[in-house]
Amino acid sequence: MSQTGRAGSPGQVASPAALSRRRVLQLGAAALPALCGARLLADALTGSGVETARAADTTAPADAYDPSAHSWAFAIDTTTCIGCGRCVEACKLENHVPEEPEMNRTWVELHVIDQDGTVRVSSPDGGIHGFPTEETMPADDAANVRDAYFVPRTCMQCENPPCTWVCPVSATFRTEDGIVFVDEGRCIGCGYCIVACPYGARYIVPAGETTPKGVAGVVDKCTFCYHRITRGQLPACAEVCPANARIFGDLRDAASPVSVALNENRVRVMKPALGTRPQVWYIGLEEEVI
Amino acid sequence: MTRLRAALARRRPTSRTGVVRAFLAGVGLFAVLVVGLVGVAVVVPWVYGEYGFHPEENARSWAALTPQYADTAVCQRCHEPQYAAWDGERHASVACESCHGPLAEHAATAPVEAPAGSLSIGTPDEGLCAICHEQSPAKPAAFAQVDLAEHYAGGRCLNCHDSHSADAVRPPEIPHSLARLPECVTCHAPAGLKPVPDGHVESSDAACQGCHKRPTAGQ
Amino acid sequence: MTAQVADRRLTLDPRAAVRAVARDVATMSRALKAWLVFLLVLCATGAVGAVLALPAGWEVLGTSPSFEWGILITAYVFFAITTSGLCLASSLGTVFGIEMFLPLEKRHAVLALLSLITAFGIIALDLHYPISMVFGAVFSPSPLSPMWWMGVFYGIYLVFLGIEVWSIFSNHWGIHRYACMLSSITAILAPTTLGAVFAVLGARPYWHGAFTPPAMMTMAFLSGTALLGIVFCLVHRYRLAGYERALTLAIPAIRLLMTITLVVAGLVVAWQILWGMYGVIPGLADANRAIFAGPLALWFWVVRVGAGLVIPLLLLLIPRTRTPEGLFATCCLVFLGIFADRAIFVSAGQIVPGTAVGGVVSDPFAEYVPTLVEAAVVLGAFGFFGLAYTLVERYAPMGEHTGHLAGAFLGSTEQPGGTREALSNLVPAPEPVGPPETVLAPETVLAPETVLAPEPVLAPEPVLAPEPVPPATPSLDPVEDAP
Repeated sequence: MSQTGRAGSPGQVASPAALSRRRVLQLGAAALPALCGARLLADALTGSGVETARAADTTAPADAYDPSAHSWAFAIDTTTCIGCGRCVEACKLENHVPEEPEMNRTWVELHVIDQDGTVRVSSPDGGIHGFPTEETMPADDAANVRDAYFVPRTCMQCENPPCTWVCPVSATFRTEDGIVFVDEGRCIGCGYCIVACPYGARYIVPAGETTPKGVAGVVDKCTFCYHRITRGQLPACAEVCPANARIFGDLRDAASPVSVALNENRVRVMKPALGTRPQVWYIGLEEEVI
Repeated sequence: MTRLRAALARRRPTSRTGVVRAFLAGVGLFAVLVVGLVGVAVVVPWVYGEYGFHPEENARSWAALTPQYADTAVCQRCHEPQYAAWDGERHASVACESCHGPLAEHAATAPVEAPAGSLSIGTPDEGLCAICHEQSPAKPAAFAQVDLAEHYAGGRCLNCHDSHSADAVRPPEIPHSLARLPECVTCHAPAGLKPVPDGHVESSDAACQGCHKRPTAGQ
Repeated sequence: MTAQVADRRLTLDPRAAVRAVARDVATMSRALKAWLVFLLVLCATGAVGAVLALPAGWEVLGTSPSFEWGILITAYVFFAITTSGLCLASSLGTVFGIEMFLPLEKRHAVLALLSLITAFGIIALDLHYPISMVFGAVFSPSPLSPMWWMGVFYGIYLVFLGIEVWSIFSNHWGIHRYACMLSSITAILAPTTLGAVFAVLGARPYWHGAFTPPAMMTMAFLSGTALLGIVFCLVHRYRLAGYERALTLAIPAIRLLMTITLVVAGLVVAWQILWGMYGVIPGLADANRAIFAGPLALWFWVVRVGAGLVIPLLLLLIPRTRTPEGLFATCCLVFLGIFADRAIFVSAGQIVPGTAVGGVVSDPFAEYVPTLVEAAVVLGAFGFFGLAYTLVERYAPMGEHTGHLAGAFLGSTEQPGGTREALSNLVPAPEPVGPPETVLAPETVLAPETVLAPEPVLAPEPVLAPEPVPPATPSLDPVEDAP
């Protein structure tokens, strides 16, 4: 194994070992453009990725919107929710949510607590067609039921989200105004954030569907209708709620409905022991249920 | 450690040209590193489009989406009668689009010259009333709910209830059979019979009895 | 057309190549032909599944938001821990210098590399954008994410394994020793980080906790040892290259490792379940109930515990079955048991719904059924692994190098072929390298008298066959395949 600098001298054949090492370095140098090319080819084949995302960009929202001046939150009143499911339908139509009934950015659950303390939870198609009384609360059950109420559910936009730091490519992040997003250009669809979320708020967009920005196969979730709240509107679910059960607002504004609701009611969050600090508070939630 | 030092000792440049060569190699390596990092900074925005390292831009792209639901104030611009009937009444907590669906695009593109209500857009389904107002133990007791099996079963909700003001006109009770009455009287008789509301279907005597109940003893 | 490979010129004429292959196939035994056909069928199945699984967003997986990690993730975990276990088992010889674990070392490295490549292939088919992962992990890293670290460690591990395999086949023993040492360190970091991927999730009580990474390590070691046992028994049975030392050293070594590791793994499984039954964390007892008496009970009791722990232990302890054939059966069962174990592990963490996911209330357990495409991909992975290894075993020089028989990173450095000589071979020596008996120059640090004893570290007599381990003599011939 002669490793001296004599390879260039005439008559000296480079040893086979050195030749293969050079080959290895050449291959390494060729790998990076090959990977870039492979990425472009993959994008072209799958027809998604950053190009589509760029194409989906529409006009910018109100430029006066300053994320650092807001802190969005919900207060959900389970004592007034009537389980009509208008919110679920509104969300699906507003946010291009997949039509599959098991994919919802927001949904309504019915919690039925029996006399002996057993809790039963049901959510037919996420509650999008309401809760027909015959199926969900049959009359012959009535004597056994101690309490029953509807619980609208959504992404909690946690202050300490367990979904953001698990992403291997930093595709999901939380903004200053408190919303957790998924960057569809970076998401690889591994599903780690979906198993990490304690509240079941995320899903991978299935075949045949896309996110509102036209990307398939990536993770999607509730964004508190960011495109509406930055324009001064309410999220679609809060807009259509007939029972005033979804109280939305800016925590930084003491006069906003959510601040008032949090001040005037006894509130709790779901799964406080996990330390996620959710930004969705519940009024009248009795049991720690799923 | 000493083995490493011995190995390195053999590698140490032994002449001035060796030292110069080693120094140039170090500078060259550093230059390659700098070029590489600058190259990465240039390549990454190209690979990731306009997002690169800035999640704020991604957030702004989410904010740039187009809302599908307008606000009630937008509906008022063209549909003043319905808005006036709705505003301040018992259905005032129900947004227009809660029943009529997303209509932002309609509001933006509807022809101004067409009279409001002439197009059939967003007319809610008949079953929509039941979803909210069907009686259920899980709904708050103060909420207006009825057992649909008992409440004028077979009739249309909108025959008696105005959808916007939520006012209900209870149909009067007809004490006698409508058979053998002249056909005109069935509809056009004065006091005792309510005016026919829009969309009242043609029906036989038996069907009418669903709403216009024949009085029983003691009623 | 010709190519220069190492010290040989190869003709690259397609027709000649086909003729050569046909001639070679004609020399194969019926059993080998049948085995290759079986593997090719598995690979074809996998290829079909892969083509269907590649386009992003296609609904070919049976996963749902309630149960996002299915059998593809199980297979990935299985192959990833197998490769780490293989390296750990071989490190006993190559790093720590325990002679009884040195034989058949080429097979350790080749199996580990192939297993890791298979693992990467499976995960590439599960991800919706695998190329994005490579770019994303480099350009937008996430040091808080255990999955990012797992990718980093397994990527580094791939590089070190590649160097290790290359250095074995090109006889660079100094580089090989360093590569083995680095691989072994990474082979400890990688599976524990893979365990951490599951362990950090507070939302999944069955996975959560400090116990999961060491349990993953234990199963890694068990799986790697089992695969080595399978291969070594086949080497002995079919008289493949290096079979002489298979019966005397390698098989008893694996038997010893397997016994110890099975006992440890059994304790791990038992205490994990028992602790879970006592646990007051919401959902933990339900998950364990699912394993004990729920949908996973059959897999757990029959496959994982019965076939994967109890029967192998019996086979190892009963004198009548302490044969190479017995070890082969043991290792096959353990290998199957580890796959079932990881499938149960991945399932149990998700089977108990902590919440209604997207409006789906799974009561009492979430449901997941693997689709045909997923099954095809997993079968194809095993087929690819088997086919690649069979081809390497048949066509690559798998014989042992006497130089590395007596050398190890932390071990016998003074013997010829040891670290000192390897290092002196790396650096251009001013004086010519003499025959191996030459004492090295006086500036070397270690005194020449400190020669380590040639006896192996462990007392081998009760375990080995009667003939003694050949002492490493300085008069070894230079090996045949040195450049």
